[in-house]
Formats: sequence, C-alpha cells, structure tokens
Amino acid sequence: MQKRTHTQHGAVMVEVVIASMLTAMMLLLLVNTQIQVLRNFQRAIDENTANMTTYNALRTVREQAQEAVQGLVLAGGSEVWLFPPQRDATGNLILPVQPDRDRPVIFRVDFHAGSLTQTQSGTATTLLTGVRSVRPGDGSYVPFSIQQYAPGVQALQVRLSVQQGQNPIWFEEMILLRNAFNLGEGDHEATHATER
Amino acid sequence: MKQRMRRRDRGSALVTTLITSGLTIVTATAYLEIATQDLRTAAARLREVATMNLAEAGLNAISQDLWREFKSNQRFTNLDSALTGASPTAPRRVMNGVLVGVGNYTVSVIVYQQVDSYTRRLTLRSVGWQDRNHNGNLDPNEPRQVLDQTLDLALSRSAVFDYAYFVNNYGWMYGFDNEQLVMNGDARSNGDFEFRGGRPVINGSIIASRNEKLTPRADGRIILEGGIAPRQWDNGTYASRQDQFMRQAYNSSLHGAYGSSTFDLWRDYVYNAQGQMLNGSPFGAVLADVNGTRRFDGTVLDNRPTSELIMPDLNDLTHYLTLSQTWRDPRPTFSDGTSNPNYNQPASIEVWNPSRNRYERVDVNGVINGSVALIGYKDKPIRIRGPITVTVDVVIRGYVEGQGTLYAGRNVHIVGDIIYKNPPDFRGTNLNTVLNTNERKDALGLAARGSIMMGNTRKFGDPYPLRYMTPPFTRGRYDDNGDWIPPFNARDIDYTGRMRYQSAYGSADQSDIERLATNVDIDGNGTVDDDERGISRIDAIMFTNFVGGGNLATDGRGLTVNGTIIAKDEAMVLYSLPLRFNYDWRIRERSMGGNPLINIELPRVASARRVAWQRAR
Repeated sequence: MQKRTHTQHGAVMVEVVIASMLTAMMLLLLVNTQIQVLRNFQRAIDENTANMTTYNALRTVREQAQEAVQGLVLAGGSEVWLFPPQRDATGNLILPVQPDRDRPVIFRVDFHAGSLTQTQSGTATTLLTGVRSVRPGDGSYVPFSIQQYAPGVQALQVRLSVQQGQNPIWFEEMILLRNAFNLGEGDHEATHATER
Repeated sequence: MKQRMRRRDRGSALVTTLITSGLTIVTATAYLEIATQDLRTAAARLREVATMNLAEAGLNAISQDLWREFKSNQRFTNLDSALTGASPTAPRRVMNGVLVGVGNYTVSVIVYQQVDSYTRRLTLRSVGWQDRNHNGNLDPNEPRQVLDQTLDLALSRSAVFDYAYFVNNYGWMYGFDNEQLVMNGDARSNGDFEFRGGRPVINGSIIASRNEKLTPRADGRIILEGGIAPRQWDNGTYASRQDQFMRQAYNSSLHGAYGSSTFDLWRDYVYNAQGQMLNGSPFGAVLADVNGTRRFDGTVLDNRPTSELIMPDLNDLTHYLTLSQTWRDPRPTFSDGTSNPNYNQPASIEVWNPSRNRYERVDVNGVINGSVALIGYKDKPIRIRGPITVTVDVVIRGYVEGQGTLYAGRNVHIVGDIIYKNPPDFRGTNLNTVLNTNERKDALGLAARGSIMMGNTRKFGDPYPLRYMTPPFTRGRYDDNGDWIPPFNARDIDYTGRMRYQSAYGSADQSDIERLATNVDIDGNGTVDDDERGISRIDAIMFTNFVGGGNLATDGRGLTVNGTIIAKDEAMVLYSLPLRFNYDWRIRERSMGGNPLINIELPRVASARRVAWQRAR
C-alpha cells in the first residue's frame, strides 16, 4: 500500500479546522444552554431565597401572634399591633392574661420600600424585602386583617406578595391568637373601623 | 487490524469530555444545592408544624382527660388529691402519646393552685417531639417544641339559670295556642324542642341542641307544626302589657343604643322581639337549633349549630350539707351602699307554728335531717336566709320572705302556691333604682336531688301526670363516661320504700300531702278557698336532677311561674289556663362582670377555661 503523506497532512489541517469549528459550535451551544440553565437555576435560587426569607419572617410574625392577647390592625391593613400578655418582674404571665399595651410588637409593610419590618421596644428590624403591593396575578391586597371568629377567638390573617427574583410569590397564613380574650366594646369598634 | 489512534484525536476528545464533565458537575452541584435548600426549608417547616401540633395534641389530650373527670364528678376532691404539689420538677399526671408517623408528645401538670373554693388553676406542659432514633426517649438532638397552657377548672354558676324553662331531655309545649301560654323569658332544651297543637306566645328565645347521649338521640331541632314559629309580641305590645314580673322591652332611648355603656348594663335584662347578632352572640328573641340561629320570621342570623349546656349535678349531697353549715351572708353592703343587716349571718329558716303562736327555727346550722313541711301563711311567711339543706323531702307551700335556696336530698313537693311576701318589680326607667330595689326583694331557690313534684300526689295517676313521668316519655342517656343512666320511672320504689313520685313526708298513702295541699288556710281568712286547693302561682327558681312536673292549676285559675323551671324531664300538666312564665332575671349572670344581682347559692356546674398559652421559656 502506497503512503500519501502530503495529502494526509492537508487532510489533517482541514480536519482540525472542521473539528475545531464543530467543537466551537458545540461549545457555544453548550454554553448557551448552560447559560439558560443557569438563569433558570438563578431564578430557582431567587425563589428559594424568597421562600426561605419569607418563611423566616412569617415565623417571627406567627410566634408573636400566637402568644398575643390582642391584635389591632391599623393604616388600612398595612400595619398590625400585637399586644403580648402582661408579665411580672420575673417574666411570668400575669393571670388572667391582659394585653400589655405599653409593649406592643408592631409589624409594618411599607410598599414603597418593599419591606416588612418589626418594631419592638423602639427597635426596628427589617424582616423581609421585595414585598410588592400587588398580587402575582395583579390586584391589590391588604397584608394584615384581624378576624373575630367568636367571642374570645381572634385570628390574624397575613398576606404577602414577595418578589426577590423574576417571579412574584404569594404567601398567606391564618394565625390563631391563643391568648385572645373577650374584647371590650371600644376595642371591637377600633378593630372593625380599621377593617373597613 | 488494529489502527493506532493519533495523538490529536485523543486530545480533542479529552478536552471535550473534560469541559462537558465540568459543566455537568457544575450543573449537578447547582441543582443539588437548590434542591437541598428547598428541602431544608420544607423540612424545617414540617418539623415546626409537626412538633407544634404534637405539643397541642398533648395539651388537648390531658385537658380532655381532666375535663371529663371533673365534669363527671363536679367536685375537686379527686383532683386535689392527685395534683396538689405539682411542679416542673415533680410533674403530676404524666401522659405520653404517639401519633404514628408524626411523632410523640409528653404532657403533665406542672402547677396546681387553689384559687378559691370554687376554682383550681392548672398549668400544663406539653413537649411535642420527633423520635428520630426510635428509642422512645427524647434525645438532645431531636426536634421539639414545648408549650405551656394554663387552665381554670371552676364550679361556676350554670347558664341553665338564664332560662325561664330549661329541660335537658325534651322540651315540649302541647296544646297551647295564642295567649293560653305566654312565656316571658327564654326556653331551652338539651335535645329537641317541640310545639304541638297551637302557637303560643313566646316572648323570648327558643333553643334546642343536638344530644348524642340521649336514647334515642336528639337531632337538636325546634319542631314546629307546619314549620310556623310560635307567636311573639312586638316590643310596643310587650311594653304596654308589662306587669311587675316581666322583664322590660328594649327601648333604645331608655336602654341605650347598641354598643353603648348603658346598653351593656341592660342587654341581659330586656326583651327584644327582633333578634340580632351583636359581637358574635344573639341579642333578642331567636330560634336556635342544629340548623343555626334565626329570627322568628325566619331571617338567618348565624349558621353555627347550638350546643349542649351542662346541667349542674346535685348527686353529692355532702357538698350542700357543708355549704349550708359554713355559709355566711357575704354582702356587707347592698349595691346602693347601705349596710346589709344580715351580713355574716348563717343560713337559717323559720316557720310560723300556729299551735305555739310563734316562729320556730327548724334547721340546725342550716341543715334539716329527714323530711319537713314548710307552710308560709300570708301574715306569717316562711323566713329563709341562705342555703338550707334537707336530707330527704321538702314539702312547701305559701308565702316566703327572704333570700335562700332549699336543697332537698330527695324530692321537693310543692303542694300549693308559693308566693313572695315582697316580690320584685322590674318596671322603671332608672336601672340603678330597679337594681337597688329588687336586690333586696324575696328570692327562693328549690333544688331537688330527686324530683320536684307539684300538686297532690295522692291524686297522681295515669295518664296525668304519671304518663309523662315514666318511659318511654322520659329518656335514658349516657353520661360522660359512657355509662347508661336509665330513664326516670316515677313508679320505681326508692330507698324510702315509696314510689319516686310520692313524698317520704307523712303517711305512705300520701294523705298528709293531700291535707297540706287542700286543707290549709293560707290567707288566714277562716276558710279554705278554691285558690288554696291548687297551684296557680309559683314564685321560685326550681331545679331538679330528674323530673319537674305534676298536676297544676287544678283550682281553675291557670298557672303563673315567676322564676324558672329546670329539669332533666318535664311533666307539667295544666288543668286550667293560661300558663305564664316570667323569668326572674335577678339570678342571671350578666355578660358584664359575670355576677348576678342576687346570689342564692344555686347549684354550680363544672366549667373549664383556658387562661393562658405560651411557649416554655
């Protein structure tokens, strides 16, 4: 068999060029796909982060609300004042439970800043950012409302539309105030007035 | 033939493979990161929810356990002995539970306080946890939540006393049409409530409730002929016809607008024909049963079904003996600030002895052993103060003066009219004046561990009234522990050797009862009038563990009850009309303050109230 060295060399160069081009195209395709995948991953990460931070924020609201004696919704439903039970100097509950009106825990949604903050004993803490003023499917909503199921049974409804990536996510939770007590008439009026 | 691979080909494949593998690894790592982060968040939430609910389950389990025992006994004796001394380091009544596939709870009583003689305060601590290594123990690294709940168990005044007519097993109004029956007050049954043969006037609410413990079980319906509600008077008609025993009709100019402080003072004491929901509870006349709450015209106010009201249980007479022996009038002053001349005085009862021409005290330290006949003459009424316990039967008729309750170890036999010497008058435009006036007026409670029999028992027969005091009209039931309580049977012989409807007082043939029922000159005019040979008026709060009934209005004058009748079974047979009930609201606990105007030591009922909830710190 005769060897054709020159032809073989030319053929190798062409092969290399073609192979390189094909490789480059394949790599381009792969990188493009990968970028798309990474974008999707980033979106998922954002949603995860939103989920986690909102979950943590809701847990803070939940823990305060569950122990609260009374909740008052103000500022058109963007603010809720939760009154914890009064305690004595040693930290024990004073029974029967009465709302500690001097030490409310205030949760406030600021749609302009897109934040949910907690204010307690004069200290404000941002619990959540990316809070939107519209639901995911459009339409406004009220973040906080108090419902009086029966005499002595209050529940706080929390609604939040949160966007920390591309897609907004909707969170809604109903929290029973375990220490809620029979409200006086004046308190009822205040609560209902804010709900209207 | 094997061709040796060229070096360039091998290099290209390796680079491609490395890049592809690298990208795959990066992608997989990112994916895993995202997936596990989501899982972590979800798992944390799941653990929180699960352990929270486990701890709540523990609280519910022990609360139900304690409540069932207390509701059944209606005494603190067992709880005191079992729970006194409880502390976080020495918990009592430890209960463990497993919810398969979810986790475990451990719950106990960590504080037990005697707040007063009628209240015990318990703090329960519950740990909800997940036993990851399945060793049955709570290990340091296992997820958990610890909750504390404080609970008051109390012997409270019973809400059954808020009604003019309360019957546990079956409320019934047969054969009354229009003003043949006028009920000025609320009526309730812990079962069905049936109106048959007419539409009487009910100026108040009618309530029925489902009762699974009755046999046959009660659906809890108000049963109306043709579905048409009873009649009621509008507020104007009611006000124009009000007499001194009727509660007032609501008038906003007098009793305040809804929500006002004046309204809150009055709302429990007034009649309002148009029922409505105020702050989650009805105000005014409504029909309420398993189907919810509605006005008499059918307007639905609330879809929630009614529920059973627990009746007090007089089974433990020892409690009432002690109450009578130790009671002292607790009021140093009346509401208007004037001093109470009976303050700190013990329970007592006096009756006029015609043969000796003087009053005689018939109790010893508030207690009468055996049976007693108490006759109050118009000019010489029975004088009562505080709770008096009679170990067997009370036979009573005539005029009564003072405030107190007679507890009978067996039956109360009403053999004639019972009339307050100084009756209340609920009319007036100034609430304070009305309250101050009526706080001092006479009030009598009649509480029977057995039954309240009305009329001449020698004439009791079938059908009237015994058909309504025997099965199948009377109902059996299961108690809270699932034990069968057979239906009341008036013909059963009890420990006295007499039938349960008969009096243990006097001769076995009931001739003494007949004499007391038909041959006593109550008004002292020298003759026994027709009105003195039947029961046409009862001024009293009547409570019985079994039957309230008998032959009434046999003197042709109808019957007026100024007070209330509360019974498991009701068997009142009217021989003449009309029948009127006027609720005595002085014994009603007001929603504001929770205290009635007068306290005649009526039977108390077990109640439970959660007073605090918190995470353990």
